[in-house]
Amino acid sequence: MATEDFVQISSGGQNVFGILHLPDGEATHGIVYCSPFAEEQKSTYRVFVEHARLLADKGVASLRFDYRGTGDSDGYFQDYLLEDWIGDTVAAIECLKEKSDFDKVCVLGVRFGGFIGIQAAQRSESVSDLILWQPIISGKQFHRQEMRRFMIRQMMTSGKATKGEEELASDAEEDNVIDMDGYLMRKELSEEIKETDLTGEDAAVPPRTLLLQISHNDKISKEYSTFLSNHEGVDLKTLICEPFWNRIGFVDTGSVFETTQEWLL
Amino acid sequence: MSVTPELEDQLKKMIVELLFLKIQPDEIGTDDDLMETIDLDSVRIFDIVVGLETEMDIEIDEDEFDIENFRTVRQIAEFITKKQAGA
Repeated sequence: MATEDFVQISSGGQNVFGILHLPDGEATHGIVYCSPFAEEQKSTYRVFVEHARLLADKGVASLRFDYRGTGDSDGYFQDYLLEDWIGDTVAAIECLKEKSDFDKVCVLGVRFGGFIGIQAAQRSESVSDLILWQPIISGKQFHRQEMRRFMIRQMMTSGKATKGEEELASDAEEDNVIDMDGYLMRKELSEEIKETDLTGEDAAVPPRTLLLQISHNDKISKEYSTFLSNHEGVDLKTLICEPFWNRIGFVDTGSVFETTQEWLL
Repeated sequence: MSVTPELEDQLKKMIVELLFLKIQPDEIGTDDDLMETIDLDSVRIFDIVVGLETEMDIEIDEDEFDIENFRTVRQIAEFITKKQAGA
């Protein structure tokens, strides 16, 4: 019978909380899941649980974890920068290797988790495959979208957005922290996200990489077209499916699971 | 510059596709309050905003995040038309 156990992973001298899924019998593959950012993480939580359980029944070991400052892990959100969360992912990769006896594992990242996963794969020699579900490739574009989300919430409350990026930055002058809808973020984190662009060929990915575009149509986005032209060999698959990371209600992710399983196993 | 019926139809189709609504585009009235008829909330407006920027090739400025630009298909169409005309 497959098992699920809580694990504590050490990263930067602190504890990262994880759940280790082990199949009944010897595992054929290992996967480390990288979560999206803030609100998107909440909507993805259950999707990861169900995917990990489905794969455990197929003989796959996996590890879900919370970046420091999120979920059950140590610390506060505003304490961390990108490098810390990339380090947490590398620590999770090492943990899964140790627990499942693999030399190399797969990293699966959704949205911001893809952004972190690509960078973790660049720093670790233990990543054999990378699976990206509608990943963030351009930090600048992601930052812009998060600003839009912030302004839309203001608009829905007050009829009109009254605070834009400049006002947010000016609010942050005193304590160096930006309040992004309840997620306190250091200005440095916001800046480094904006400056990180993974579309170019200098942003290496493992030879076996799957990019799954999940959208309302199968037209490949400009951002992904550029990424693909700079990363020959990346497998692209497009799926028409609701953006489950941006939904409160149920979304059928069966096609996402099936496509991933076919590619991986 | 006036709003064309083609743009309104295009927007209705886009809204249905972006939000995965289980209705036909022509079931959305041009002057329907979208917050009532399709439960437009902040999550759904986000999808529409990103979709408009991508597919209509426009950039929405911070001071344009006004609910009166997004409440009905007609308002969205007028807003897009103004943006595309560079107003």
